[in-house]
Amino acid sequence: MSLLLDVHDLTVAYQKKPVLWNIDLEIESPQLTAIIGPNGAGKSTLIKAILGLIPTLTGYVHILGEPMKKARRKIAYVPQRTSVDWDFPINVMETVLMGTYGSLGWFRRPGKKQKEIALRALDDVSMTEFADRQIGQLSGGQQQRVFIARALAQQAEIYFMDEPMAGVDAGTEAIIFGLLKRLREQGKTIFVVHHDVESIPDHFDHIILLNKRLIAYGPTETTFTPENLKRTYGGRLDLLDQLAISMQQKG
Amino acid sequence: MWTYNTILILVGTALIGACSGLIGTFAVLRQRSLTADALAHATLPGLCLALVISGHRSQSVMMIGATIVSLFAVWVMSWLTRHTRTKPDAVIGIVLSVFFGAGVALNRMIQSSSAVGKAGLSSFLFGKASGMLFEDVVVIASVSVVCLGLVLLLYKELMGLTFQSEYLQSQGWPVQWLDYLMMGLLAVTVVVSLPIVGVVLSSALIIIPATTANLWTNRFSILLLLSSTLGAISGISGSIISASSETPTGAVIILIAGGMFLVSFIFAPEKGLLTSWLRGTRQSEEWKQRQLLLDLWTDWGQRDQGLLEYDRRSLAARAQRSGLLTLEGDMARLTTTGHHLANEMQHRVDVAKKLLDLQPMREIDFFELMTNDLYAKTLAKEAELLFQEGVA
Repeated sequence: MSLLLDVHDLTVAYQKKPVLWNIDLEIESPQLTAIIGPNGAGKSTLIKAILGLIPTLTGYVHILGEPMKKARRKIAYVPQRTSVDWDFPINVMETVLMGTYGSLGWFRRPGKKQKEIALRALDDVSMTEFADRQIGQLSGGQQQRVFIARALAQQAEIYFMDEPMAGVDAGTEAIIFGLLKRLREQGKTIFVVHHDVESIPDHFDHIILLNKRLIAYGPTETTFTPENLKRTYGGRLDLLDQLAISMQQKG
Repeated sequence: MWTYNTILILVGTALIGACSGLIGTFAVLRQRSLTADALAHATLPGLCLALVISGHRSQSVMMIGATIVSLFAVWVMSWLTRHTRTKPDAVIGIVLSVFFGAGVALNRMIQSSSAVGKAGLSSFLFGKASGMLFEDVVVIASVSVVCLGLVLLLYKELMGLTFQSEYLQSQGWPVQWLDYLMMGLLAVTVVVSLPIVGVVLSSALIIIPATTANLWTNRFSILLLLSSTLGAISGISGSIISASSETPTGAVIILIAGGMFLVSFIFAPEKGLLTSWLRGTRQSEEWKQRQLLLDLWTDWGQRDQGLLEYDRRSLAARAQRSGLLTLEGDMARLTTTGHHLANEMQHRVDVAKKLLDLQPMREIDFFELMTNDLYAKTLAKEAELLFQEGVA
């Protein structure tokens, strides 16, 4: 049986300076995985390298036994919210419809079927009533949900989300976590770059600890340990202290 | 008036304006206005080199030369940005001026060598519509048809590329090639407009109609249509005025486009200066009146009628004119509209307070909350979700 995701010896360098070293990941079964690490650890870079958005020095990525390039339809990407100009003359519906471009292929425009898919995706993130609104007239959390709806419209098997919780309101956060849980129950695999280390045990079944190298990967229960976190974050004691407190509280 | 020649010129300039407006929309939205400007300036050395190499003034050879050299300049800019630490705006400035400088020098050399003709290429600097031939219009029309056809055919691909190329790339689209295609269309559009608008101003026809149209709409498809229309209007009216007043065509076309921009950025609904100024004034008056209603409502113990203090009189008089309350001596009474508005404001404030209880770090703009219905609705929706979660 082929692996769901097989990342082998992935190295990324910006102008000779390596930012990611020899990443090996073998994902066998569907899971909800958080990617964590300090700033500059290469979390976004890892996602982009897996998706083939940036050149890599060495390594390969296979999805369900196929090279990444042939498996595009099985993956969906949620970029960082700050990566676009929100004044762009486009509304929520048109943005979500972009998720169907891959399955449409060249020249064909989204039709009735695609609109239904998009509406369902909007419903999944509680954004149906905003379908006609220009994307700049949304709150940050709503914008993030539009990006996630667009990825849902891709109807993929594996989702890569780059900081979907960054700067969103608590309502949006609850919706996104609820959605992640549902996707997981449907047998999808989701990778989420995440900043809020404390909330990880509540929401994720696996974690990837990253700091330019792969520090650790595995089920949250066994991998989310103070030792591993210390190896990932180095001497950032404030964070470790917070964590110790929150872990104590949880007993 | 409607001589054969006039019709040729009108058709030609209209098509050039429309095509520039269409392709310009993509360039402007991708924040490549300055790249387009550098590209346009880099056509001059291309025109000169083609003239020197071919040895005679052949329009088609010169246009091919201009296209090649201008695309080379785009490549140089992209190479310099990627491989040196020079900032993109400096790179554009350097490439624009060096290529244009080379063009000016070459033009001087051509003028001083009697082989090709004393006139040199000066007419290309500022453009001239009156010399347009049937063949020129055929070239312009073909380029316009190709541009329009490709935009219609690749509508979703090009919109996706312009909005977020990285996302399109994640779906496996060849964004690099789509990018080359757009740059090619931009170069060809600029080059065919050179004889009429001129090297120096051709990028303005790319930038201005698209920017102007963007002030009037929030829809991409309408933007494309509007930008092309504005470009065509600039082209037609510019060439008519220039012909009757003996002024350079390019300059007049750009002045008209600029005039339309000026009018738009003042008067455009929603995104215009006047609207935002009026909205600001109206909004702050609304804020005062709504605040008054809320205060009275609270002071009167949530009743519709009560005593009005002296210092609130003038504001209350304005609220009376808005139909929110009626004044009778020292007393005031909320109208039905005023009653509903006071209730609505009370509700909005209550929701905001509850939100702040749950999320003390949340920033809420109470001015916007009480005067901007869109903001209030967005916030109410967020609150609803949050309260649901609290219940669950």
